[in-house]
Amino acid sequence: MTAHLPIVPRKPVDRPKAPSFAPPAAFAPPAAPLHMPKQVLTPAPRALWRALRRGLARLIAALPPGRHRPG
Amino acid sequence: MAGRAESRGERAGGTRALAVAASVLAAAAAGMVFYIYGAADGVDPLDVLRAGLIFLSTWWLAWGAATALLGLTSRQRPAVARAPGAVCGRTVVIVPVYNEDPRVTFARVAAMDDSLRAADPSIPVEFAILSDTRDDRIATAEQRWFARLLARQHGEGRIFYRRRERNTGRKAGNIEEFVAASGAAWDYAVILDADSLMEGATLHEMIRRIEADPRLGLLQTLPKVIRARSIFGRAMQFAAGFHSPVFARGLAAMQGRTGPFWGHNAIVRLRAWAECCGLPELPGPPPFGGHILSHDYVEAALLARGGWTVRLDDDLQGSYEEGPENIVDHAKRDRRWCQGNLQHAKLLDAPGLKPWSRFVFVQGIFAYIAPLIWLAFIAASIAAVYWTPEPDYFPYENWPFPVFPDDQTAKAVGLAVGVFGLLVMPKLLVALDAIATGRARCFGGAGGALRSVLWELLLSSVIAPVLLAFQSRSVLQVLLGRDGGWPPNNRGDGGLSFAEAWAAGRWISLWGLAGMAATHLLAPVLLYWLLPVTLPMLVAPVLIWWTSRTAGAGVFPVPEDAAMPPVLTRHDAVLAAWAAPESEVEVA
Repeated sequence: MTAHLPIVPRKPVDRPKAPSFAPPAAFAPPAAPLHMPKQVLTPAPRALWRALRRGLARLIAALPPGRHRPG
Repeated sequence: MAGRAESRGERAGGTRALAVAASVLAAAAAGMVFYIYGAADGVDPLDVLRAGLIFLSTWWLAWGAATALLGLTSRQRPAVARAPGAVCGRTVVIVPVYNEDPRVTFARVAAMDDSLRAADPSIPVEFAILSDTRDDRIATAEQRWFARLLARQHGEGRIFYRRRERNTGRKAGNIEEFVAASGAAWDYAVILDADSLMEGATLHEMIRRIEADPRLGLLQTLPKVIRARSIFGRAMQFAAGFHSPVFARGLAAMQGRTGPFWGHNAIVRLRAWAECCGLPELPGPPPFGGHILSHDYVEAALLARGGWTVRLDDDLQGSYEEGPENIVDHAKRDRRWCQGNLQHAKLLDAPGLKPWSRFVFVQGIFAYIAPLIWLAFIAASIAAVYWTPEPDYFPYENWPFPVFPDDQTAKAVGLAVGVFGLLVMPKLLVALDAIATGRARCFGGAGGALRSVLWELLLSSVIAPVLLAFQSRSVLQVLLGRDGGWPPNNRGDGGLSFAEAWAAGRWISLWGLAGMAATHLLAPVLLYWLLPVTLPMLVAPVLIWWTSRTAGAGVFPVPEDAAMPPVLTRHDAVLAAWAAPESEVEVA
């Protein structure tokens, strides 16, 4: 049996071994999900409109009564 | 803890108000002086326009000077809390890569891992290399070098690697995907760039500081530029090492609880990050819509909005990065930053942001439109000379004596000196401070440091018009809707041939020539005044080529030349051990 084994030349000791590498699924970071909600970065137009109306209403309320304001 | 944070916020509020008031006052004074000077022969719209432009550009300069002055005067920092004894939290060091040379990048991981274990092996720190590489050849090399890294560090189970199929959201998306999929496995994450290097002891100190303050969401270090070889790179490295700590101290004095994040060499609390930093796509097409490019500023603002503290600890040493080695690479990186910062215009009205975060966005935008303001001022000055009527020396009939207009030269000279002073004074003061405190010893001694400061001032003044041209082009491209994409960084020695420099800078020469011709035709009196701008533009290719050449020994010395940081020595050792024949993959 041994006579049929191929003869493999020895590698020099100091030569680094060529790494054989399988696709690294095994080396991927562990699965440990963390919920990461998308942030809101654009103001909602409706909220802006509401704020504008509230501001105007407050301004009108602060004005003294006169021709520009009934009552 | 809360009391300390509140007092920090109050102190920062006062400091900010002082800095803003001082810079606005300086700008208003400059604008007023210019208005008086310009309106001496009668007010016209160009005088008002130029006074406004002087106001804006002086504010920007004065803001920089105010930051430096704060840095020079706020030496005493409050004691920073740190967790003594055993560290409970688990930390992962994230290394995002994108078409980088894996041998050099993974050798950095090996060096940091060695440094961590040498500093204190009991503190659990792991690594995750997050590849966004699109080039399959480099990706294959990454996998081979990762196997080698694992074998060297015995890193199985604590050094991880994954490559995304699609690089959605670029670097921010890469980190986001990692945090969403694996973030719960760790408490803290140190975010690095592919060219970052940090000492193990520094990483441990950051972990202890974030562990000690449960409201601290992000802790930023001030990275030092290392391994620069070219004239341009050495000058940048010197400026970053010599001047930046003082500017950073000024920034730290103003930060309160809304400090900066520069995208890397920082530690984050993963729970806070996940809670606050899921970045949406902005509505509309790029460059203003789409993925957020300068994500770091936005992430800092979002953490602050979520009630987390974001802090720069400028006292932390042992944090390093590499910089561009030539003007072209600098301009390429700047193009990306320019688009990212201008994109922040869409976020100025984002709901719930702290006022200081909005102000930081404005600063970032201003950094890129400032060159355009100077250009507009030059153009308006040429137009003003062209349209100014000849002085009328005999305005009164039957009056035999000439009437000379008021001499306003003193005001113009005073203004020029003031603007020049705002540019130069901070750096000179930093130099004097370094000499007085003995910090200059590490930069070649008092004489050597002063010489380097003056050479750096000269060099930065000469190349400023070239950088101004690149920046202006970037801003105009973004405003015209051109997306700059995501080009990979060049990490080579940075040397450029003259042909490459000519190809990159000939358009600037043409604009310089056109500017000189226009000035000669329209306002010849300004020709010599504008030479400091037009002449460097004219010889831009020569400047680009010359500054990319390798600097001689001892040019712009920095402390790291004399005493190489241990983590750099480790990195060199790993690179030497990993030299050919495994390094056959060349990265373009």
